[in-house]
Amino acid sequence: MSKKDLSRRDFMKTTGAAGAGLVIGFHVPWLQGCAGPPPVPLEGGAEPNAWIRIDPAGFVHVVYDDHEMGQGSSTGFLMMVCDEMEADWAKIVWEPVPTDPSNWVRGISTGGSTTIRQGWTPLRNAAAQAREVLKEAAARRWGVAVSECVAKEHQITHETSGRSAGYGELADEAASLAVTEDPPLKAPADFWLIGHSTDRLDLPDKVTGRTQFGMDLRLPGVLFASVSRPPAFQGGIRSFDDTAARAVPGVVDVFEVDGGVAVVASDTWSAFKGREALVVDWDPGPNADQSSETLKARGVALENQPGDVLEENGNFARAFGAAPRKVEAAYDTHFLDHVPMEPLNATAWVHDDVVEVWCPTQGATSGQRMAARVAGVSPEDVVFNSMLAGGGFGRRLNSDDTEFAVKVAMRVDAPVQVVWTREDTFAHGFYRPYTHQTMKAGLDAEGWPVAWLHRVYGQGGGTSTGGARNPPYALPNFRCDAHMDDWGIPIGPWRSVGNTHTCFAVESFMDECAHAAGINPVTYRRQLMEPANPRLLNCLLTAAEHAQFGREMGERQGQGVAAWTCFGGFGAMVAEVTVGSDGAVVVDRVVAVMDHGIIVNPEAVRSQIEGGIVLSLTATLKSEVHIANGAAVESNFHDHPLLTMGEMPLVEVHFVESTEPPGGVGEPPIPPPVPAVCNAIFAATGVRIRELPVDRELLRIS
Amino acid sequence: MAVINLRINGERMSVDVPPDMPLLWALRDHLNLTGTKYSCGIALCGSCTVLVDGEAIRSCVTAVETVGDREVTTIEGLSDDGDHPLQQAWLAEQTVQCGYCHPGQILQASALLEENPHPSDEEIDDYMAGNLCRCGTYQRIRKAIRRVEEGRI
Repeated sequence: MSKKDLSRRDFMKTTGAAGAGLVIGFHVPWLQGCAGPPPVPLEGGAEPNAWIRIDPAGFVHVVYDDHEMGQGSSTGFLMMVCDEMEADWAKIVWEPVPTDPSNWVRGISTGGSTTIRQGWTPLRNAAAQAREVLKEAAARRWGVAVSECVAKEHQITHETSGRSAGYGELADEAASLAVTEDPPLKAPADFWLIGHSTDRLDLPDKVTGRTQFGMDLRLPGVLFASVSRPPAFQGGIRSFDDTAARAVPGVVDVFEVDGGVAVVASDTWSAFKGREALVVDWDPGPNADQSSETLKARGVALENQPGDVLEENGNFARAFGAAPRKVEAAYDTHFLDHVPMEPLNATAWVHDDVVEVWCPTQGATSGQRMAARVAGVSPEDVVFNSMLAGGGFGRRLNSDDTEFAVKVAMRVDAPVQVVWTREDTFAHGFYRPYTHQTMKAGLDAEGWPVAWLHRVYGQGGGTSTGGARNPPYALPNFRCDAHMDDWGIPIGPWRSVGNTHTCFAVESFMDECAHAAGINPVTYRRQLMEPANPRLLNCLLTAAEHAQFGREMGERQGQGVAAWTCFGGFGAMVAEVTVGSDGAVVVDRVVAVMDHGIIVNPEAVRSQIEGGIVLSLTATLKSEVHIANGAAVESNFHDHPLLTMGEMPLVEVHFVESTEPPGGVGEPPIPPPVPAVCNAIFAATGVRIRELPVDRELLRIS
Repeated sequence: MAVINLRINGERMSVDVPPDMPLLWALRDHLNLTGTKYSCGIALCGSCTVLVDGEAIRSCVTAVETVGDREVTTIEGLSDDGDHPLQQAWLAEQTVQCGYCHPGQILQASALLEENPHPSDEEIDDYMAGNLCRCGTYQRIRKAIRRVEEGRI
């Protein structure tokens, strides 16, 4: 068992003991990721799934099931507890994610920009319970009224008598008292830590190399493995010859597992070398003829076929037929890989009736269940150690990293670390799906929409359609329908999920309609957003103001605007581009105005917005994943480049001051840059971009 | 297999590995210096950057036998206690998100400033172009380098 082990049961065992201090157990309901505020609890019940413990030395331990993959929410949720409890920031201890999620009230998983917003009320409520019960303990000790006691700076003070006692000193006494169900919560005006930029706790070790990511785990006696898998989705293995692989120095064993051939070696390099020496006759499976072109052809063929209705108000067909002007366009987005800088990996060890896993993941519960399923044991027999992850972006919600580690470990009498190559990570993704989106609008004589259709061709429901059914505009005779195909290609949530591509279609098409109407794109959006979405409208108008939208631009320069709301956050962005005569697009500046409600750690949130824009610009300008012969084409950074430092625009982030509860942060900045840049390209060149990444040949004039 | 002697972070070390093994894997799997990261394996992302006699190189494509007697500096050896000006600047700008690429970013930046103590913005961009960051921390990396360049630490 890991030294860091802190399973829920063990935590309760330890903390239930006399002298362990004050323990507050509480329930944090799971949010439905895609919904905006207010979040919807998926499960009821009040069984604790989070704890605050004040030990007798005064340290405040917080157990909350947030996986840290770079987003910084681990610092944010501790700030919420610290402020509400009036604790000392130096005495707050970040506890690891529990290693036995099997009887957790909800699944432990970090996604959907939920960590801060789902914890906002329950975490502060529990911190306030602790604060109030500490006050009561002090009042009893001193024989004074609770109302005369003040909690501040990690101690309770009785001002009239000048007595004070530290939280640690009072913890055991407080533990014997009942806590108040609904303690008073602090007013936002009284926050001294929430809303004040605070250095992230995970950063000092990240600049010295001390941070241990999943791939950095070095267990005694560990072996390393690489698994060669069929290049085509749903492909198989006909036969393989491992003679050469076994001859590679350092290779310990070669065997077939379900879905691949594993090479186990004394170090990672030897495993890679052995794996390269394998000769495998792959079965291309049922999708050998599949390509990006065949998928697109299927999407195009369905452009005028009504799909399954996701949302309908009024009668689109009739209103569109009667409209004096019609605007139509179709948009294509290709698959996207998440490309976390730390390739997928997991370490597993089957020993002493326990399956132990160490994985940099976003989903401990699904990882534990996967390990149990592969090993044929019950989840309680899996110890699942969540490691820090070098990026996630949604990719690490899938548990195929754990799956292959356990498959290999079942055959090895030692801990084994299964490392995916970068090429493996590209070839076996859970991609954002390809979509072909058809947009149609009927405009009245003044150019305003009287009918609106958004038709999505893709795979997998919300992963393709998310955001399409509820655009942030009041649109009469609105219809959103979908054709969900099944290509047999693994898809999954990619940071902001469906919104990455539905926002591209909606906000590009909104620009096309504004242009057709001869109306300024900000004015056009304002008119349609006004009654429906005041917070987004405020972002839009503020962004236009900061960027001086509509100001004179140079030759082949342009501004573009887009606004979107998802995961409880609101954002509008103005992009400014220069398009070279060779068609090269330089994004000079992005002005972002974001409304996330109350922002817990502003500098960390600002960093998320800046970085989100970079991720989005890579998808707009640089690379997506294409399919040929039923397999992913792109394999490494030579054919899937990422935005580099020199291509980084000046990014200006402005926050809306707000007393609304916190909204999501990780995902809301992802959708708007895509259409903002494409609309700016139109303003600069008159060319509409309807397929990503931007094809510079469309923009070349020399 | 061959015994190869190395000088790493001021210490003499030896590994018994195939001579063509990249330095990256000798560091990570044989010397337990896991601050140097694997990400692309073909010198396209910079995550594996280390200094060899002060020059930033990609350890994922540098055969361990070619290092010879030159001094290797990894992120673990850049400073005793995280007090290198670049590490301090990185914290001052709250540069990092996931952190995976940053050992390489910091070592690349240290080679830049060693070579050119007062780089222009364009020179920073050019020198750092081979170090990719998926979290998108470039704006802060640039500011952190500028901070050191201007002595604001």
